[in-house]
Amino acid sequence: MNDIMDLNGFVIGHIPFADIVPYLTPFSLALVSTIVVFTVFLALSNPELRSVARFREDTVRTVTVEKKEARFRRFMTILCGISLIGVVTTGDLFNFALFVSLTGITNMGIFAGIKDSHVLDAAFQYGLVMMICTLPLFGGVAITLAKTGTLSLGVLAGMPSNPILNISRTLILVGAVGEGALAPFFATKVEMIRAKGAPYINMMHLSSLMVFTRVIEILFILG
Amino acid sequence: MNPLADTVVPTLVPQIFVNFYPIAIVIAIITAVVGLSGLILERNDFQKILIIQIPIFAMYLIVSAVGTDLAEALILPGMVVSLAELLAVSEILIFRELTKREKKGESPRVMNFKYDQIKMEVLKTALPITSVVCVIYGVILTGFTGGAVAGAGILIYLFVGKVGGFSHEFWEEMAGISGVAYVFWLLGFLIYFIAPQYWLIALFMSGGGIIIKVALKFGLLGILGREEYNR
Repeated sequence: MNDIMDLNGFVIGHIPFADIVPYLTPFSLALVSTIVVFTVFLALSNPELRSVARFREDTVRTVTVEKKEARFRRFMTILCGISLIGVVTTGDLFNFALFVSLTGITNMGIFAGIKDSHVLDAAFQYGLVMMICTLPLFGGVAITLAKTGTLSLGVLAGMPSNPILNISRTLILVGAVGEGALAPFFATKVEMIRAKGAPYINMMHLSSLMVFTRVIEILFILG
Repeated sequence: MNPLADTVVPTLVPQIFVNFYPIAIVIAIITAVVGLSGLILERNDFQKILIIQIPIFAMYLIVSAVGTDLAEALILPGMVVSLAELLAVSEILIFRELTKREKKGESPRVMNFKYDQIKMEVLKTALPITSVVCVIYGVILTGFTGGAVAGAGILIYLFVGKVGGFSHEFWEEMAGISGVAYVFWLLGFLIYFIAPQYWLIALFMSGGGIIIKVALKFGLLGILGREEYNR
């Protein structure tokens, strides 16, 4: 029921793809600029050189990241940034679900090439949670479509709330929480962050933050 | 009239589908419960990936229960997303098992095991075509927005690089022509909606495109069969 103007301020610009209308407001402009700056920073930076000190030994070893592996992880980071821009600017509920899923997949891709069985185990568990959570995410979107007959956020903003929409809001929240590794599922994320190659891994924190911010806005628009 | 389905685009959807909607949702919930309980009981990781397809199947059920044309358009991206997640998770599973065995230093046969990366035609053709469509739409839009759209198209093309660009081999392969014909088919349908007065051009484009596409698809099957024999 909340209008987009009330939530985000005036609409700066929009791209009129027939039904899919990505729009930009001062709120989403701030998010987009944060993502762009962060992604450019990560794309230009080199992987870390981690030093490991052994207990009762007088040696310090450094752990390096191979060049090929670092290139793949940088590519996945840039892809994750692009999909995050899609998450925060899209004006279509189904596209939101797709971009959130894409963010999850690219998040997993950042960790895919690491030769550490603990990290890969955690990434695998995260992937399982992600696959399960496509059910509530797309299910919530489909129930919204069945109830209102539209997926455009601009139209949905003018519709009054009702119990069915509240069910779909809950489902969308659960789905986005699973895909972005938010509150109850962050244990896998903590395990994954033990991986080497620091700067690219920070993308996962940013993606969690942006998915959370955007899903709150969508819950306000629907309810 | 049930409360779930009183506004499901009532003029477009037949009444029988509207009546079936709550039943379909209940069946989807039962399917999801069955799949998730199986997931809790299972301990083998590989079996977990297989069982997880059952909740995803419940997702297809919920989306397709809507019953409109839009639901049909939504189920394909849903399938693509679930397939991409399946591929990513299974790649991680393979890599984890290889890493574990490498650490133990056992089984050289498994260590030398090389699996081909998945080759899909859509990876070669879809990205350049997407960039071309973005550039054309940006030129039509003009102004700042059009510049942004066209720039996004050029950016996509630059990201693709030589992997999927319009190289010499691209045009040699029949799969490439098939992709172009497919785009003609889609463009024909697009003209129907955008400019209905040019229906004749749209008819010829879509008709010719679908003929070439289907013909080349059959040719592609023949090529694949020949390669299997040669191996």
